[in-house]
Amino acid sequence: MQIVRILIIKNKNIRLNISSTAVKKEILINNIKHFYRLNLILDFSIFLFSLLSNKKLKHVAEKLTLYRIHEQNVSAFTSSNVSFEEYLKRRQNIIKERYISWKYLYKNFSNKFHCSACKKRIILEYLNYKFKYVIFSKREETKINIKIREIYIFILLNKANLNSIIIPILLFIPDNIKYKALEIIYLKYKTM
Amino acid sequence: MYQMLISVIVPCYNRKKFLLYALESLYNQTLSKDKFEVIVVKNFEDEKIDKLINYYGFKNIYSKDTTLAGKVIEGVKLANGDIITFLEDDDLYRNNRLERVYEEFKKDNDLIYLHNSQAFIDSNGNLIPENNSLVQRIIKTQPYTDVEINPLDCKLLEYLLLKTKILD
Repeated sequence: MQIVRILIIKNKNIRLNISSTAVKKEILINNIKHFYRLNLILDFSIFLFSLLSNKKLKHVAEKLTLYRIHEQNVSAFTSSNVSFEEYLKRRQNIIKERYISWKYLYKNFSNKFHCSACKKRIILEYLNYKFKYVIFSKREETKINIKIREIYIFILLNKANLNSIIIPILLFIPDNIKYKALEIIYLKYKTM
Repeated sequence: MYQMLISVIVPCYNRKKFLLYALESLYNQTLSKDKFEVIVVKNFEDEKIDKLINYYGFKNIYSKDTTLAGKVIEGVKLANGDIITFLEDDDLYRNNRLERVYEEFKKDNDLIYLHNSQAFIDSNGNLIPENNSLVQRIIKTQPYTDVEINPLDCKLLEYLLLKTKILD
């Protein structure tokens, strides 16, 4: 049970979903001013704000929501008949918005959590989207500085898994090679 | 006697294709209709959809806001419920979802947040099996057991994670 409890906060792959969330109104009212800055990560933000309240949170295993996978939703970008250029454009927009949101959470909330797992999750997502924003953009489009220390933390927090090594490598290769690599990844998922 | 009320906020931007199904799934809830309200916040007018919203007795709010957050905020401000839950226009609820949400909050006054697992459907509403590769990519490590996080758990987590303490 303890391991599962850790999973819900620590595991960056946990699938929180806004249509599967119910929360006391006070949590939303108390944090309403932050929501505009957290547009694409509302589901996780509501979870974090609830955690900060120091009251009880619960996840039930019953599948009470039906999540639709279709051409227009984020999860299915590579599953349908979307061209690589269109895929790239959609990903760029979403990654940029998520980067801005995670940066906001990182700057304003990471120190408010007593629990290391929450801090780690915020830092990990912030770095993840910061790196991806640079990767998915042309070199001249972004003026974001990546520090070596950030790459070190990213790899360490990801326990040096394959993704955590590939992502920093993509940061430093020329645009033409980078986009070729992204196209290969896109085609791989498209055929899955 | 005090009766708990759930407010369901349905944010919708431009997309009409699946909204009718979402609304139908709300109308078909097993929870008594006096225990929940539905607030649809959308940026368009559509005769068929608006007629159905009125027929179901749901609130119909027109919003120019283009963001999900903006529409959620508008819905929250109008909500009368103690518990707020959401339904995106392309998703559906199982018929007993609101009843289960109501039960969970009713039996535990300290509960502040509830999350449930999801099944996956395609654009025609057919269930997608979990061994489907796309679903596998989406769900990855979602826990399929019940989980409760009590206030003390944060301290417990801190203790358990001492060995991997890197950033503190």
